[in-house]
This record gives sequence, C-alpha cells and structure tokens, in this order.
Amino acid sequence: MIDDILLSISDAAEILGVSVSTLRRWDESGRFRSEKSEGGHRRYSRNQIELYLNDLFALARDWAINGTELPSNFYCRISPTFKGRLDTMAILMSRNPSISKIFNLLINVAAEIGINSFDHNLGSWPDNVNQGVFFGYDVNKRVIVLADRGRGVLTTLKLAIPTLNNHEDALRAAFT
Amino acid sequence: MKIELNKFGSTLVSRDAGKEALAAIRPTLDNLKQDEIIEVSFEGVISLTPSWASEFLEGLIQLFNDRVILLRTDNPAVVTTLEFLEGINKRPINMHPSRRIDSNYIAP
Repeated sequence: MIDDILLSISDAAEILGVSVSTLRRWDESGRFRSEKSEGGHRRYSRNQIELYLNDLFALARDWAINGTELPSNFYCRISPTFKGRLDTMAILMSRNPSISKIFNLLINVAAEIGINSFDHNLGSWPDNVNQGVFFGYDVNKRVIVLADRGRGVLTTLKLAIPTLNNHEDALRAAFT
Repeated sequence: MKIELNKFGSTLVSRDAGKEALAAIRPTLDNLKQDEIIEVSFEGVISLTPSWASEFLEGLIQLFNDRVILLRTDNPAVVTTLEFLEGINKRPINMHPSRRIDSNYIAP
C-alpha cells in the first residue's frame, strides 16, 4: 500500500516481541520476508506485521507443533504471567456490552483451561525451553486461543481415567 | 462472619491460589464463636474456577459444615462452577433455604 509505513528490523522486532536475529532467520527461511531498502537494509511493512499478529490460530499452531519462537506478548511462561493476561482480558471484556451477560463464563473457561496446562505439566514439561502457554485473544473477533507444548491431554487424563485409549476420547472426556 | 471473596481477587483461579486463600483466612476462622455462621459473598467476583472453589469452598465446608452459607449471586461463572462441584461430589453445597443460589440461570 502506498501509505503503508516501512519499519526497520529493530522496530519490527520490538512490535513482534522477538529478537532481531529471529527476524533475520525468518527472512532467510521465508517464514517472514522483508523488503530491502536501497541500502540493502531489511524493512517491514506495518500491514504485514499486523496481519501476522492477527492470525492467532496460525501463531499458536506453529508454536505448539514446531516450537517456533513466539511474539512475547502471547507467551506466558509461568502461571502468574497467564493470570495477569487473563485479568487484562477480563477488563477488556467487561467493557464490551455485546458480551456482558457471558463474559464471566468466557473468563472462567479460559482460566480453567490455561491454568490446567500449568498444573498438569508441573515438573514434567517435555520441552523446558517452551514451558507455559500461548494465550492470545481478540475481543472484537470473539477469539480466544490457548495452546501448550505439554504432555498432552491423553497422558495427563489417563492418570485419573486409565481406560482412556486415544486422543479423541481424552479430548471428549476433558471438554464435554 | 462474612467472607467477601473479592478480597482474594476478582478472577479466582487455580488450586494453589484457593489453598493459599483458605490458609490465609484460617487464623480468623479459628477465632469464631461456636456455631457462628460463615456467610460467603461472591459480590465483585468476575470468575470462579472449579479448581479454586474446590480448594477454598469445599475446604471451608469440610471444616464448618452447615455453618457455611453461600450468599445469592447471579454470576453465571459462579453458578456454573458450584453446580459442577455439586455434580462431581454428588451432594448439594450447603445453603440456607432462604438464600439459595439462583441455579436456574440461563445464558442468552
């Protein structure tokens, strides 16, 4: 776009919440391409950054499956960070009249699922580097995304329900 | 005695936090008069997860049985959590007959 702003790699890294070296790697791998200025410096459009950040499912899926570095504002390594982000979401939701009658339930569901990621993987995170949860939300789009790289619902629920045999049954037991 | 749960926060989340909340209030509870009623207010609470409620409220009821009264609320998160715990434990959470939780809440 003609009026789209082009940002330096350091500004883009700050907005995305990743390191400059990560952006360089992503550019080289094709994951998040830059444009080059006349001087050969990497430049990123604001639109491109916003599109990337807005696709919460893609971000979460990529991290959950591949352990790809996350924008820091979506990553809750420890439960107090998750709790703080949850409180922020609660404030934003409480100001949205269209969901005023159910926002308590939405917060409850997000809270229980998110905290369970920490509780059920305590001391047993398979991936120490990527402990914790991805927690992203867009109140206007009515989207909440939670993900973790933990042991999985089947492994943890089997401790309480030994008869569970597969992931589908485990997810059904957990969420229905 | 009245326990206002919002003094522990507006989003009541996690087993650990529920345990800590009960531990924090125990010294006050230990000084109650015999047979003194304990009212629990959900005013100002945004969310109450089953994990937190299981540790705090069930812990409180185990200690004080019929002396614990849950005050009326129409917060759907609270109602849903309490109904869930009643279902898990297969017994109603104790409430004074004149102060029942509105368990017929239906979200629009």
